[in-house]
Amino acid sequence: MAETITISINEFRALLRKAFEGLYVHEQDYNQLARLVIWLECRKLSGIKMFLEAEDGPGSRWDLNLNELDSGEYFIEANGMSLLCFNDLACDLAIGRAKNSGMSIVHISGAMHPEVIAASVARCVRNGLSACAWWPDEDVEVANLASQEAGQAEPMMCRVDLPKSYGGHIENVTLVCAEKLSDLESKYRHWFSYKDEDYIASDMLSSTFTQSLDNGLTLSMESYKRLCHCADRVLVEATEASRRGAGA
Amino acid sequence: MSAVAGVLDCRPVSTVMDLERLGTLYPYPLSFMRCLVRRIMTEGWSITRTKFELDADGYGDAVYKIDTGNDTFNFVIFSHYLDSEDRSDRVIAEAWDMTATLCAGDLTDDRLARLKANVPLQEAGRVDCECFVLTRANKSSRNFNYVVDCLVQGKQPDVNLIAKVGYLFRTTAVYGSGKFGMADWEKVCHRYPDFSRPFMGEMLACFLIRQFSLELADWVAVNRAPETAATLSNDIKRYFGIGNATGLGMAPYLINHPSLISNWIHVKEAALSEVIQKGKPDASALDRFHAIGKKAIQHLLEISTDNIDQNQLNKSARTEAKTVLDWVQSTKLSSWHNLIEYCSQNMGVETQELINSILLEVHKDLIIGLEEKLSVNEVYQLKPEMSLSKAKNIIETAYDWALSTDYSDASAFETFWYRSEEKMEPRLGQRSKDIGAEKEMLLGIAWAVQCCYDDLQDYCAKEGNKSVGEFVFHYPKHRYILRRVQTMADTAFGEIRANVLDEGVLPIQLLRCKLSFFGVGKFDPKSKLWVRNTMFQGAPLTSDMGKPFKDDWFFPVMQSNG
Repeated sequence: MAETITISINEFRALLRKAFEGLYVHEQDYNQLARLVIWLECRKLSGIKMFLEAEDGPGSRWDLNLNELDSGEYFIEANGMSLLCFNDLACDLAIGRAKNSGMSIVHISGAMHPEVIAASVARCVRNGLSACAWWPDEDVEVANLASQEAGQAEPMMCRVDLPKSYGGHIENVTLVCAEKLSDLESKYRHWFSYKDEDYIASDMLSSTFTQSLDNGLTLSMESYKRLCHCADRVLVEATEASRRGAGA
Repeated sequence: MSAVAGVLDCRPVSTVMDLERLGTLYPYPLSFMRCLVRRIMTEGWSITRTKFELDADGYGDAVYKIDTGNDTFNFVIFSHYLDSEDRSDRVIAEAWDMTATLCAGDLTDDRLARLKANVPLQEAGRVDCECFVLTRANKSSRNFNYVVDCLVQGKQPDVNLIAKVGYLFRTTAVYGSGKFGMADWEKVCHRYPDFSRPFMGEMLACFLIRQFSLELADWVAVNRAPETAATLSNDIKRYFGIGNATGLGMAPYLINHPSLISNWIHVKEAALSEVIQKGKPDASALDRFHAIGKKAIQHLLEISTDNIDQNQLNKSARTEAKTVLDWVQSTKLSSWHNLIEYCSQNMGVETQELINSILLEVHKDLIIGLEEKLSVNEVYQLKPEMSLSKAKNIIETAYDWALSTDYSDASAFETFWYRSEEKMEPRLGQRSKDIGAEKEMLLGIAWAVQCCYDDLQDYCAKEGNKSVGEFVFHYPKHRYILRRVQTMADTAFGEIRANVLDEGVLPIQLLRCKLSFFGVGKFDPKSKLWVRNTMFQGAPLTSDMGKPFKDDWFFPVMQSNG
């Protein structure tokens, strides 16, 4: 059995903040990035795995283009970046537009880790909106769906058959949020027919989070060491001069 | 959003949030140590020593069981031999005279063995998720040896001598909030209501280190001279506090938790406002004011520090406080507002804050209820829907102090804060000559606000009045500061108004501000970077629990021997 370490959410947060700070210095909101990884990891949605995949390659290299379509929808070309690194920026666009105009749609093309968008769905709902998002599955006729209504604690996640009438690009990630649930229902959600065998109910996500809070998170020692290595990038070499700048 | 309502009657934000003033704050009845002791003494807690397996020199294991009525907790102590050469207050130390943890849950032999293998390692160890405070302390060798020698000779120590230090042990770190495998704060505050207010667990740990230090002195003395040794009198025991050395690590905490700090300050200001409005300077209140004022002056006189600036501050506060007491005696006050006005016009900032704390003590019954407002749920959430013109307006009004900092003067940007590879110890560097500025911590809030404001203006000029969400997509580096600005603009007191990147920054002002909310007294600055102080001096002992309690242990002063 692989060696593991149990750490609290707060310790994990501090480690991730430093890891992101080491990666991006102050060019990004590393507190928010850390929160996102925690949100995913506490729900057993592979936040650490995605971070380590992203930080080690093109997934973290900043290369985003934003266009606003005539329809008012946003279109982000991610050029291979991990959605983990810019999910909250996409979500900011969605929330901002939905709060100002009632509804918003954000399309994301060419993103690594598209499933991260589930966290955006939850964040939209924490902001008083209803939201759903879908992204491609390996099976081309099927999409993954995360959906949450205002008032629900966590999103539900499932696989869905795409409707024949679906006119969007199947390979894109799409996030839709609306002030009124009825707008979301009438425009999008009725399109999907659910495939129940892969269903993750919102209360399951909620209970995994509570378990993480109670017992801490168990990480493989290898992942932990890699995270520590990333976090160590923020440390400055100790010198005699630096010791003069230290307190007790 | 702050949990306390009503800011209109409080002092102006620009006055209250000025760092120089915050660096002169004194403890008051809602300081966390006071809250803890009130809770212990009035809610019927019991604290029992359940294990004291020490050798004749005081090395071994000890456990104190705390029964709060809601739950049972254990404070587990490991007392070690430490060579005097290895005794250091620095974060980078690796061995201590004693190490300890405060934990919930059963204390089985297996668990105790695991704790014994890890707690003495401190940062290098791992504890379990039922532990919620990890701490360590070192002896004040001078005081500890002197006290034990006196007891061995069958006599009590001379309070004049022990007053110079005021404690037997000094904590050098008190960790909580999920570090090193411990329980998360969210878990502690929801699962254990006794510790749901800020720093209650940490304060209890310090209180119990003090208790242990006193019992340890008795133990070592009685083992050295079983037939003749005296034990410390309770009066002298009460006069001993627990020392503390606080360094730079605490300063980033204040800057990274602006909502929490703003709320603590709001509660204190609301308390002051309540007292000024509802407290009457009648004969009884004036008697209390004079009695507490005299005690405060004596307390300041007894502070022993080699720091010339602090000595001067203490001296002028004593002199001015005496003037204030005389003025109150010779003036017919119609309201406490007259006193506050007199002080603000005639006294230094240090004295003004001292008088505020005295006044809050006089009328503490009016403000105790505010204790439950000290907690706040810290959420710094971006409002992406906000227009850029509104965001700009918020910066111009709530952060005018930040915009007015002149960064064209290199000295305003000379200091940087960073973490050293030595135990991640926070340190200060000089930008013009030290290495590491590229890895500085993001603590220069005024600087970050100015940078954001400049880019926001440029973006608006090119793109028009778009939303914050659209702006941060193009300028993700400003996302953090904007959500902070948006959040803090909704609070009553906002940010601490300081440029901590300035060449002349005095981190001890930040430290004293936070320590005053802990209830710490007797500040003894060792440099501009760290300060020694005393906690729980004058507080009740565990043997006082169950007896009548007057909550009057503030501004502790020397008792005569015996």
